[in-house]
Amino acid sequence: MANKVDVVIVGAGGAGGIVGKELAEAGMSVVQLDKGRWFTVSDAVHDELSSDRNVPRSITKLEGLAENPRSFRRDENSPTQVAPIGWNAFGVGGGTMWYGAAAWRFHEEHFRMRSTYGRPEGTTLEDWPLTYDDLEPHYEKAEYELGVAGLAGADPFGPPRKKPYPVPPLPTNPQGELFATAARKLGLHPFPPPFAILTENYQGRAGCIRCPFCIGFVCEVNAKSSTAVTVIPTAQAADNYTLKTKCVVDRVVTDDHGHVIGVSYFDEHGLHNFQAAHIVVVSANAGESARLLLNSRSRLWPNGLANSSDQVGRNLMTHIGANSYGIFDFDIPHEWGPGPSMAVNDFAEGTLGGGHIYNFYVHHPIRFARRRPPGAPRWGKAHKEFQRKYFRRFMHMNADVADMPAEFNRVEIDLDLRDGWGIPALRITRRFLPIDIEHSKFVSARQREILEAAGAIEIWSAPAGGGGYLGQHQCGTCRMGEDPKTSVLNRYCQTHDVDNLFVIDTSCFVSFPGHNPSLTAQAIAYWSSDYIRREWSSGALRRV
Amino acid sequence: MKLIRRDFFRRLLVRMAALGLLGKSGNLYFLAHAQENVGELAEGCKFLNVSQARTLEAIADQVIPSDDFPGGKEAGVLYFIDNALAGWRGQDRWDYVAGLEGVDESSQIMFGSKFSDLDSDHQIKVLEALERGEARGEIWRRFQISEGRDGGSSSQRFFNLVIRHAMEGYYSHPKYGGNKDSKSWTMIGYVGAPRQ
Ligand SMILES: Cc1cc2nc3c(=O)[nH]c(=O)nc-3n(C[C@H](O)[C@H](O)[C@H](O)COP(=O)(O)OP(=O)(O)OC[C@H]3O[C@@H](n4cnc5c(N)ncnc54)[C@H](O)[C@@H]3O)c2cc1C
Ligand code: SF4
Repeated sequence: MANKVDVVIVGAGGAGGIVGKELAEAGMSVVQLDKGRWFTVSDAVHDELSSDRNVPRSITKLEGLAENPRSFRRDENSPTQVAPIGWNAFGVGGGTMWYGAAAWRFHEEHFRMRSTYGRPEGTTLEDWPLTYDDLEPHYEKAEYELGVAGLAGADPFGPPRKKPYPVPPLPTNPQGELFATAARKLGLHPFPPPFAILTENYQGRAGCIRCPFCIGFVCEVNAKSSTAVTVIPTAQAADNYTLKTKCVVDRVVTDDHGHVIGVSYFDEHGLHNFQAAHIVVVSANAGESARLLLNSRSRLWPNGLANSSDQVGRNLMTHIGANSYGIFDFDIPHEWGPGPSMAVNDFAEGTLGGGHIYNFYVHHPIRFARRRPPGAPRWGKAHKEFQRKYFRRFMHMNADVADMPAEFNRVEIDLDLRDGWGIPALRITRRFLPIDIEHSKFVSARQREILEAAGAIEIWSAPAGGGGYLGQHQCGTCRMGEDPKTSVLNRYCQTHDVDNLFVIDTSCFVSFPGHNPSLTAQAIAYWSSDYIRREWSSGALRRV
Repeated sequence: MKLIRRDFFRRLLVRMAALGLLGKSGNLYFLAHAQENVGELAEGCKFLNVSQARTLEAIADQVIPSDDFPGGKEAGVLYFIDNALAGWRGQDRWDYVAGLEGVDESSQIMFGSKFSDLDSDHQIKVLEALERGEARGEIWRRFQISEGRDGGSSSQRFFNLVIRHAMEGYYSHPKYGGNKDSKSWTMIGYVGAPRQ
């Protein structure tokens, strides 16, 4: 048995990486286990076919799809299918290694959606047990420690901030310029969106070279501010910190009193080990964290660890997308990464189902071959002509639109399905509510107005609620709340049921506004780490 | 890897059952060699046999016809797909083995010869029938193209699979073999070549 440490952290991803660094800096002994490996610039294979995000079942895939099956069903009455759903990458840095790096703060009202708008029927919409003001200093710390580019004050709807961004925003590209002009014509307020991407030298890393392969790819120059190139190396400099890769945690272990005493895991060689710890932090991302708790059943926790509320795994949210496309009779080159260079937040607050609209990442030919207006040929001569004529005359408006939490949207354990280590896998039940579809349609109508004002000659939207969104922005499966009966975590991501167990990642979200999740999960990681170090130094959370 | 193996055998059994009933179309070999393709390997290919390659190449050339820029055939889409089936897309092999046979069967029923022997107009008619899911034939009736594919009937699913892979080959990085001399990139004005 390995030596008992102060804290063991499961997962070294977007949020976990921060917790590891913060607790190591506080002098606690930390072991951090991640099931994946290190990714480096040599993994930056830069062509469209090499990224699973672009091409399902691609050559390199998001790591480990084959060993990590999941099953899926639309609702309780639909058949369950085994599906290789790539919920983020497994590896140091987690999703932030591959992500599009949009680095949004949520707005003040996003933390109190229920009291502002009421609870729509069929949903579990709730206020968060913390406020924007609580998180503001932690957002700032995340932006500064990771390196976020943006232009303070450029977004009239943005939440208040005390400091400017540490590095200036990405330059505007031709699509952004066209978008901005069109948006202004409509009375909207375009601005350069924030990215966890360096635009100039910062803390020993160089700026983005604006390659066209950002979202879904490892960055070839480490300008993308993943935790693997920022906080995790900082943590590794400390003697009291150890990161172990290729270690798959299968269970959080409890004692006879129901407290956690450590985790068991399969190491790189398939050996089953135990790591004892005073505190266990689970940061394995929304699907996997819930799975780990549910798989850690015991006599005292028959429904899954820390699940007296029966809320572990429920209230899964993912965003509902809104996507509209336009073709033009003039060229709008789109070859400078990452691609999005304008956004509007005019529809991101003041409504239940808001979302920010932006011009999408650089497009590539294979994806473009599938972008056609309804009824247009999908093959043959006409398809080729369209491809040729419009590849450089195309603009894609995207939006992440808020979706509502509901109890039936959930992850559970699928007892018939096991992963490559023999650990029971997840079954996902997910469907959008009619109100989500309405919100998505509202936002795509706004996108079409922008495309029209930009002079598009043909405009169309993807059907609302269609595919796609299961696989990136999953959250909500261990929601925070004040009431232990209806929530899993308190405002510090500590489980209501077990005081030395924390879940710190996107699982804790209570509602999901129309902005990407990572920066908020990371601000919460700082906030919760602060709490852990305070508690620890006061002598709490220690068990013999 | 328990799951994956179980799943693989289940799918194989479904296929064997389906194809076992297809003795009359010459597919009994499949029962005996369930894990390997048979027939003479097509030139330059690693998995597809001569007849399958001919059919696939003709399909690729309709999906992406040639004009002043290469069509699917000249660009090498066949080799792209074959190479993928021999390697990283091995899981799709049996869909191709059955699907290509199905296309030839439908062609026979509709116009009296194999797909590759039809003239262009007739080939297009066959593909349109597949796309609408209306292509006829024993194989489409008996054969289950893998679960999880887009489309309703087997012929439609197979068609969707082939056009997706053909587009991937034709528009991907030339190193994958389906975009000879980067011609498709030149055609559309794509400059996203790797910088390494
Ligand atoms: C293609 C793509 C684009 C995206 N773009 C954006 C964007 O632009 N902006 C944004 O904000 N978000 C984006 N996201 C989402 C973002 O990546 C995630 O929200 C973020 O990474 C979540 O952080 P996390 O800490 O919750 O989980 P993760 O970052 O996923 O980290 C979880 C970690 O836990 C490890 N792990 C899981 N299970 C185990 C286990 N049993 N044992 C040991 N280790 C385990 C994993 O290996 C992983 O490293 C994108 C995601 C994808 C896939
Ligand atoms: S666009 Fe910039 S940050 Fe993104 S992968 Fe390319 S170089 Fe890295």
